[in-house]
Amino acid sequence: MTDLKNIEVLLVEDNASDAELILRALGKIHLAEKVFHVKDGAQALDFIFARGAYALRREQTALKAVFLDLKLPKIDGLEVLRQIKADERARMIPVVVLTSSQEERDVIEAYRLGANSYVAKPVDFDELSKAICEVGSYWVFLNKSLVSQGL
Amino acid sequence: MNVTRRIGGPFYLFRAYGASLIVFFVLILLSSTFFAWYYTKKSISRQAYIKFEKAVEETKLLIKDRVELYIQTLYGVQSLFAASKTVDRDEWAAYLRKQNIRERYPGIVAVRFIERVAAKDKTAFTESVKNDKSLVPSGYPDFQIYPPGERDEYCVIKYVEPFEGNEKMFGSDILTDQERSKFLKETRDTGDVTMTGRVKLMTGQENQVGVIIVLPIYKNNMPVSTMEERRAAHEGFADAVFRADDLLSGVFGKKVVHPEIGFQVYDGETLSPENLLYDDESVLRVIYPDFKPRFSVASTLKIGGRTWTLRFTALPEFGLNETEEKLPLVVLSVGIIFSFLLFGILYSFATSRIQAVLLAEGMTAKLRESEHRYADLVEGAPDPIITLDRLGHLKSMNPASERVSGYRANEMLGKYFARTGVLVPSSMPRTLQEFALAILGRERSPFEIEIFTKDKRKLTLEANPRPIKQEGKTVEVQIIFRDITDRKHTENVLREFTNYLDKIINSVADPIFVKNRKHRWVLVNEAYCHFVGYKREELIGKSDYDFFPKEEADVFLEKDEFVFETGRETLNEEKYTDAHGVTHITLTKKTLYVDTKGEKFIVGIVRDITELKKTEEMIRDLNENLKRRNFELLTANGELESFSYSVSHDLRAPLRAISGFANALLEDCADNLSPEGRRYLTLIRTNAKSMGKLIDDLLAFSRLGRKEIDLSDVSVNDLVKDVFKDIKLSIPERAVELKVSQLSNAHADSAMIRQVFMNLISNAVKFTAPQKKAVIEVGSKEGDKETVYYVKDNGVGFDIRYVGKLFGVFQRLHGVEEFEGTGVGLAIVKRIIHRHGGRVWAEGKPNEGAVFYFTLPKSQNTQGSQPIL
Repeated sequence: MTDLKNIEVLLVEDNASDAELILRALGKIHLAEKVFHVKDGAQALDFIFARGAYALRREQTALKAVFLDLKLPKIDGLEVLRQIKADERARMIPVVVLTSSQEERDVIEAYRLGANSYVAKPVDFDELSKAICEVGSYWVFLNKSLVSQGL
Repeated sequence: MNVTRRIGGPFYLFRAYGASLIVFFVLILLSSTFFAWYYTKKSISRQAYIKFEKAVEETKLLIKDRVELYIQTLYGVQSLFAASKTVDRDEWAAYLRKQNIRERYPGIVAVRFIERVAAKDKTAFTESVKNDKSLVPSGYPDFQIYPPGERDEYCVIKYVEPFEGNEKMFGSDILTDQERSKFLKETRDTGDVTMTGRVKLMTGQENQVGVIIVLPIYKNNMPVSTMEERRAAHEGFADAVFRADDLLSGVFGKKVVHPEIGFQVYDGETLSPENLLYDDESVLRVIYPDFKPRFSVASTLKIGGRTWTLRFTALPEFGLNETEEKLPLVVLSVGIIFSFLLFGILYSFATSRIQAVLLAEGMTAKLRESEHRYADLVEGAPDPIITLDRLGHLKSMNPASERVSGYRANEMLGKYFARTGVLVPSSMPRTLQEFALAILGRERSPFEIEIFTKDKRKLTLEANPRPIKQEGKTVEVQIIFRDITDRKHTENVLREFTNYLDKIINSVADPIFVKNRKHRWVLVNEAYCHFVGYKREELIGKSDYDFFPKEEADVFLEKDEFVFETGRETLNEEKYTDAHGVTHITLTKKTLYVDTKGEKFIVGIVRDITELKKTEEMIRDLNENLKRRNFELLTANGELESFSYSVSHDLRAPLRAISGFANALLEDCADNLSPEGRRYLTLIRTNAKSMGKLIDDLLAFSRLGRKEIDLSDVSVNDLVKDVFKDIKLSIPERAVELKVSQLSNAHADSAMIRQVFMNLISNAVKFTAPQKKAVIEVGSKEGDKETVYYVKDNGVGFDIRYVGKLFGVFQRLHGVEEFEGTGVGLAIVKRIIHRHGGRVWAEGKPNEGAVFYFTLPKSQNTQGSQPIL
């Protein structure tokens, strides 16, 4: 939360407990300090497009991934996804839908809008932790992003 | 016109009256004259015939008398012989010369004595004749019997008187002629005087014919009563030879009794030339070759044992006296003269009558003209016209009557009209009644009758009787007929057609009416009467205002007027309040009809749509309801969806928190927790996890209700094997045998059926866990309408008493410790099968395994394609 320059992942999660548990899981693979957490869709968009409260953020600073919950206050996750994928540059950012919903229509809609991955959050923490760690290490370490290309 | 009449008048009248009358009388007179002439002539002719007959009879008698007189002469000769034993030549000659036969008996050629000479006496006989000098002193030295020769018997002519001219006969043996011989023998045998037929005379002259009368001579002293005695006593014959011409012309001698009668005499009864004895017409025929006698008669005469036929002819000079003969001519001429005289008188009378008529003409011209014209009219009328007298006798019939009936006037006139057979019997009473009334002088109106024509056709006539009066009294009845057979036929056809139409119109279920220009009904069908509730008699001639409320009638009137004015067909929804006060809603079609006379009518066809309207409204209500319900359903569905969406999202988050933080506590603060505390935290995590599973199953179950069924042909065989393979992967440690018989294919949602088998086989696997070797059998059985599938296991089974709970949501028959699971699996099976229109049930006993059955319909019409809540 400190230096925006080091931020590689944006976590969009309204549920504080979930957010804490996710960050805890990510902490196990030392990713927690590279994650910036916002609590609603509006904040998420402001952050991504460096406006409002995040106007000072260097727009060029590319994210390696956005972990996006779908059920969000103000602007919901699918709308956030739509706006990201509608933007010429922002669409390059991989978006991982990370949600409780196992509804088929959500899955279909998310992929339709251009989600790069869809992960249902298991109830059991061990499972959740395992899933988060895998997703995090994949997108941040394994995946060749535009950021690592120095763009 | 008047001039023409004056010129033509006298001739016309003369022709009309005088001429016919005069000609008539003259003709009568002339014909009477001819009759008188004819009868006179006939009577004169008859008188002449009587005269002829009388002359014939007289002549006949004369002939008979003459011949009999001649025969008498021979009897005299016979008595000469009877008187003396022998008759000498001189005695013979003396006797006959005394008789003066040539004078007294004209036609006698010779009287002779013929002696029978036997063969032995021939010479003696010849010698005695030679030497007989009693009459001539020298005797007859040259005498001999000829023809010469010796014969058994001879009959020799011994005496001939007069001798001069007949010398050739002397000495002749008459037996040499065979025919003569036979005749003589018969005469000898009978003893009677006989006469020969026509014989040629030996007088030396050509064509001399005559007859010979013969008498037998017997010996004096011998009996002659029998034939044998007569033969024995036979001495010879006496005969007399007559020249026929002389004999018969001598009949009348110098004293000609009937010179106007000619006659022919034939020997025998055949009138042929070879039998002709005498003919006093031969001369006449030379003079008049073409003579045809006025009378002629043939008559037979029996004489001297022979039959002669006498043919008498009236000679040209035959006749009555002159006065008598001329009588017919006199009658004729007098009659004719008288006739012409009468003609002259009548003619002059007629011409003077014409003068008088001419004077009267001026007064009667008009009447006459009208009568004439009337007669012409009747004659030339195209319609039959007849007149009957007061008694019903047919007095006249015009040519049209003849033409129509086929009867001629001459076969009908004078007959009593009712008995002519022309009238059809059924028409009789009316006709008689009408005739009687006409006779009473009443003018009658036309009536219909039927008649039979001569060729038996039946015609219908319109009869128009009219009394014809003279001086106020009906003298005749004139009847003018009109042949209306065709019209009647057309009327019948039309009536039949109208009936036919009426029937159709009345059998139509929709009310139909026809109104005239004044909006009054002229036709209503039964359906209309029934519809409005009034009778046809009440409706016809009335208008809508007489039966319906004013506001309704106003509408009808307005619509009618529109059609009358524009001629356009209209279709309107209208309101009718019927006789019972019930209001109907109708759809009325109104069309303009213009008849041949240009009169306008409205033809209306009404359809009572009251019921239809009600139904329509009901359907609309139902639809509204349905729409509302559907909307509610959709809303509810939407709500449910957002509910389950929320559940999906929000219900798990707290669980995750519980599980997550319990885990964090275990990880971070494990040292500060007692073992018991750590176990509790583990339990919290386990429960949170199982609640998460519950939520997932519940959501899956709820999703199933909303999902559309996507039917396709499913190979259940492959599907089951595939499912089992998946399950087998998760339980590598278990020994499970799957028995699959050939399964029927299903027409169902492939994913759902897969779910069904997944759940059932998983269940079977789960509940066979205690068995060392689990055996799961999947099979199917095809019925008529559905296919039954089953999944059988050899597991723990269940108590059949709890079978009702098996398929309920979250219903479990075993503890979670025993067999894990949320109790949603069978509920999902049941929901899927129900949505396919099938059934599910189960059989089982504790520890003896269980069988789960479900059916799938064979046809495609599966129920429950709509979401079930």
